[in-house]
Amino acid sequence: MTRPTSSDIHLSSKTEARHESLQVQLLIALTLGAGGSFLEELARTLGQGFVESVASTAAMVGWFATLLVFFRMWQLGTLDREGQYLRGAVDDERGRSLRLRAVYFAFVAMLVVQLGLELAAAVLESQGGPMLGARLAANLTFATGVIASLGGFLYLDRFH
Amino acid sequence: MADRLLNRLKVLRAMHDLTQADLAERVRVTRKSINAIERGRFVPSTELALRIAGVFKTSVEDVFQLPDSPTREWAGGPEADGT
Repeated sequence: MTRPTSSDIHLSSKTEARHESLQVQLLIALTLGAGGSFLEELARTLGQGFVESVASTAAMVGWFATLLVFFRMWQLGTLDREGQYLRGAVDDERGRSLRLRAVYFAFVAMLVVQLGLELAAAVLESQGGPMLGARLAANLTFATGVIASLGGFLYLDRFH
Repeated sequence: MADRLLNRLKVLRAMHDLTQADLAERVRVTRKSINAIERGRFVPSTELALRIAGVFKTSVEDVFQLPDSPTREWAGGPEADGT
């Protein structure tokens, strides 16, 4: 194993900071995309045309931004010249451990959302309200999963 | 089982004039990981502990110890730098 130079250390710290910034951007983009899709479906269910179109636009912007962030993350990976030192700057054993905990948190969050949907559907049905569609449930579950896992990871990474 | 591992990372880093980023680079982890290990918030794998000890050219036991280890030779709080 060769000793890293000060340039390697500088590059690694920069890569770590850039990767963290991209993760925050990804969380914002996914929240906009997945949250927008959910709101669009909810507005459609409730017959709110204006809200539906606004949410639809927000979702499209969010999904496009998500693609852009993924591209920038891929680009960051290819900038890793040797791959030897810089890989550790974005993916190490603590990161993997935190990701696992974040995924577990997201799984629990999705279960809670499913339970909430069941309750909401039962209440709406008893009151003669609108039926909750499968797409609405799927969008909410998906939004919860991606936001909780990424948000959970960023929280743990920053405060733990 | 001990939930925290005592360590002398801060002391050893100071002795070798290494920053957290320097050490992180040498053992190929993030600076945050070194910080978390130093503060006793993250327990490193055996492999990482060996790599860290290797940087300081010492044994793993000289860097990390269990709080209730019968062979413990150095004292310290969870952050393990003698504080």
